[in-house]
Amino acid sequence: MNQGPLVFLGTFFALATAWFGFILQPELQIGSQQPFLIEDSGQLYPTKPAGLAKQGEDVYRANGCFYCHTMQVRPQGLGGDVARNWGARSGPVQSVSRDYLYAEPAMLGSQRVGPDLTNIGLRQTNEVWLLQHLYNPQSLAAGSTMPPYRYLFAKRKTTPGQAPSKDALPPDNNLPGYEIVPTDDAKALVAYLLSLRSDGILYEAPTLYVKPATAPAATTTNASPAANSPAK
Amino acid sequence: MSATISQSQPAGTAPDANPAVSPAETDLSARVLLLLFLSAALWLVGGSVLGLISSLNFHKPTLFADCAAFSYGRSHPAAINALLYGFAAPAGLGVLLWLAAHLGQAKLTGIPLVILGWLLWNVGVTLGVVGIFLGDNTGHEWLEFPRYASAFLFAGYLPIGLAGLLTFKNRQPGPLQMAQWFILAAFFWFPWIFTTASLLLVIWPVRGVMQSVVGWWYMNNFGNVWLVLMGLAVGFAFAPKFAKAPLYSRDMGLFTFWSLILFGSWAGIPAAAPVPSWIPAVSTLGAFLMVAAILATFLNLTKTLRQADRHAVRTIPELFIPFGVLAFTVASLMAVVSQPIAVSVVTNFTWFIPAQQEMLVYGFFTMTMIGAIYYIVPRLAPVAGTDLLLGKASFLLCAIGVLFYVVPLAVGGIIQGSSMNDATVPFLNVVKGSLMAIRGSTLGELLMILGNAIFLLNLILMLFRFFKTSTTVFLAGANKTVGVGA
Amino acid sequence: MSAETKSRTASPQPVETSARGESMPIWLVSVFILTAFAGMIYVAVHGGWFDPLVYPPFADIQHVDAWTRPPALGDGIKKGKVVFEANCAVCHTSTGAGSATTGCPPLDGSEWVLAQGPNRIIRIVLNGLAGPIEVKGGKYGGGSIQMSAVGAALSDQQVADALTYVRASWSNKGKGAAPVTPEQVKSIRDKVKDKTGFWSPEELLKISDKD
Repeated sequence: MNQGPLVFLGTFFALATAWFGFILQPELQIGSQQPFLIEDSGQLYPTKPAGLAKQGEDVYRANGCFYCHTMQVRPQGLGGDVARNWGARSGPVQSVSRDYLYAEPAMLGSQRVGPDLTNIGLRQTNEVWLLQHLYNPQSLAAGSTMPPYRYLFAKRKTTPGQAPSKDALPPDNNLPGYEIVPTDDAKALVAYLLSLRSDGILYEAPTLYVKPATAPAATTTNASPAANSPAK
Repeated sequence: MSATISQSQPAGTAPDANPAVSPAETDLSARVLLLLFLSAALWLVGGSVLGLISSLNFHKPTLFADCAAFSYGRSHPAAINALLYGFAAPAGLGVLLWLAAHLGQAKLTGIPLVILGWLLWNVGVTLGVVGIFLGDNTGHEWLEFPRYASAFLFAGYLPIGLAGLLTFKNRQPGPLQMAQWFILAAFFWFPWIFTTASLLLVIWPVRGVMQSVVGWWYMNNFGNVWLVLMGLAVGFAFAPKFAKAPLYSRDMGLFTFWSLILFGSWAGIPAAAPVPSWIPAVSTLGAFLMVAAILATFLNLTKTLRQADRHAVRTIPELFIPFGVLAFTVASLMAVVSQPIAVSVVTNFTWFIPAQQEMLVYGFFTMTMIGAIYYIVPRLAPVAGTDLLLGKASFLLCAIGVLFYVVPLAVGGIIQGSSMNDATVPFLNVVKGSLMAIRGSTLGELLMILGNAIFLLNLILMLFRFFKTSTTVFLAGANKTVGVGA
Repeated sequence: MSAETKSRTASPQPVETSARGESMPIWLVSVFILTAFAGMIYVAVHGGWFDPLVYPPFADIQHVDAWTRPPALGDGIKKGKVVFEANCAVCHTSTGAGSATTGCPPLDGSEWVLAQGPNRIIRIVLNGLAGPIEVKGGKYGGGSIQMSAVGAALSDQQVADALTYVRASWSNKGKGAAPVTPEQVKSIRDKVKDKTGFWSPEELLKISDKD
């Protein structure tokens, strides 16, 4: 008996099943999700990153930031993400698929060598701090394993008495006689980081502050939010 | 090329027109595979050196602060992709082509196709690695090569895959041997998953988090299915060879095959990912369903190997391939265990994940393929003999190296995950706590580089001796092969 | 078979290419059955019943619903949103804006939606609509673009909730459109039970707003 066709058809069938279940079906469910209208402000969430932040996304990708930083907050009760204040959707809330509508590409990351950056734009709003941290992480966080990204900055010789360049880093950080000026890439990257925030209130990611008045009967199962509720 | 194809078609319909050839004739026709093995070994050494460079960032973060190319975010993906696409794929395909010819008692068909594919593929890998260094990373793990490189990979795979199918078609009639199931499925698996993922991630990207879903699907189907199909093809072909006895159980082999392609292809989507709950949940079901198949494979292959004569001296491949069987079991069980949410909550995002991947890609796949190449090359280049001492040294270094790499990272990853979940531990302390494991694993990396380098050296020495003593024989052989093919 | 024997004699098939007929040990079969069972339980507990809006740690859509904010929304509106997202939002979009390119009219600010009585829109949901239809001064649909009888498979309560949600959301909020009750849906469902085919806008306009 020639079993070649059987193996071919079996392989084809198996691949088709995996493709149907894990590509087609998710695409039908979440592939055409729409932004959500926030009722109070009339604004759409998420917002499309624009201008410098969009360019910064490319810098983030090209330099592989996502090999050490994730961009996904796990829900309350699953890991310490929320307790570490990484989730910040006007409340301690996890990431859901709608948060990534405009991510190009979606860089969720798989390693947390560094902290999660989903809401870095909410936690750290100081542009100079971020630039300085990129230039020399150890000067702001002693013992950090993050490599300095000096190649995103230009080192310029200064003449004494000359006024420093407009966007140079604070001088205490520099070698005497030099100033450190961020390149366009560094500025774009920081603009991107500042734009990172998942603060829209979404139906599928309720803030777990308020216990519902009429919780369904099944609230006692393991996966119930009640077990993970921070309300005390 | 067209002559080769048109000749093979009537051969399939009329089996008698296609007489069985002796193993020596098969080997003579398959010499072209030396190209694949040599380039693979070069990429293996190059990739592992790049991996070491990226790890140095953890020893001294300021080391490459002024050098964009060697920063962790570029050298790390370059290393991974050099290993996956530079070494793993060509080595696996080369071994598969040899096995397809050898098990089918046929000659390797489509030698020009293999050469063409090999050229295009390696151009693609080179472009891809350079592209990553220049910042053209696509942003999707294991598919980082920019689209200009992926196009070459795809164009390079097609002729190689075609040569594989043509060779397979020329096999002697009769029921398929266990390894042949895996070989045929492997030839079909890669082009499907690679085109799907490339189209949906790079050419016409899907929206938002769907990209991550496609990415996880691709990583799983590449690592946990395609590499496993190729590696187990070697296992199922060589275990009986070593034991000089039949495979222990055909039923269990079939069970492994069907479970792997039907359920193994579902796994790999991490729990608590920002996708609707059912996606990782069904993925976990797939992982659970693989447990019995993993155990069956282990049982089947070890029982087959045990039939061997215990007093016989072990050859080099007999060290590498059984190690691969063991590593497959450990790596696959690690993947299954870390899949459900209760464990994933600790292991996800930690060094446990790279440890599992290294166990699979290096401990299982690379070791298996090195073993197979050690077996095949002396047959393709018959004047040469394996240098036993060098072979043993490379085995010991690779085997100890992979353990020194995986064990600290797996344990360190679990510790890292537990302390990361305890929000009272400052994040910087979590990072510092895992540094010891990372730095320890660098020792393992060093040993593996040495082992890989000795493997490459051994390969080069074999080829050098072969060419030196028998250049004329090789040319005659090549002429004869081409003459028969055309 | 003869070809095989011949090839055997030509170059003897070594024993290593054959396989023994050992069957799978019974304990391994049990492992398979047990893991399959455990996996299915896992999917039942953690799978969110395949709902696209259920993320961990919620067990199912009722949990999400019970916990979601803002709580200011009425119960019917919250449930209606679920029905809407699952059945209507694909075309009409989650923001009710519709899409000129797909020929799907907006619901946000639509005079049909905000009519005094819900009689016409209940009929549209129950039996579907073949355009073209004029909404907010624009022409939508027509030709092959039709709305199917979405409501036929939904309960009276679900249709009422979805329409209540639509009439109270986006800019429709505060326009004074009254909630839709399941009783209204039921009475119209009884009236139109013999109707075949889609409604046309002309037919609908003949029916009183207040019916």
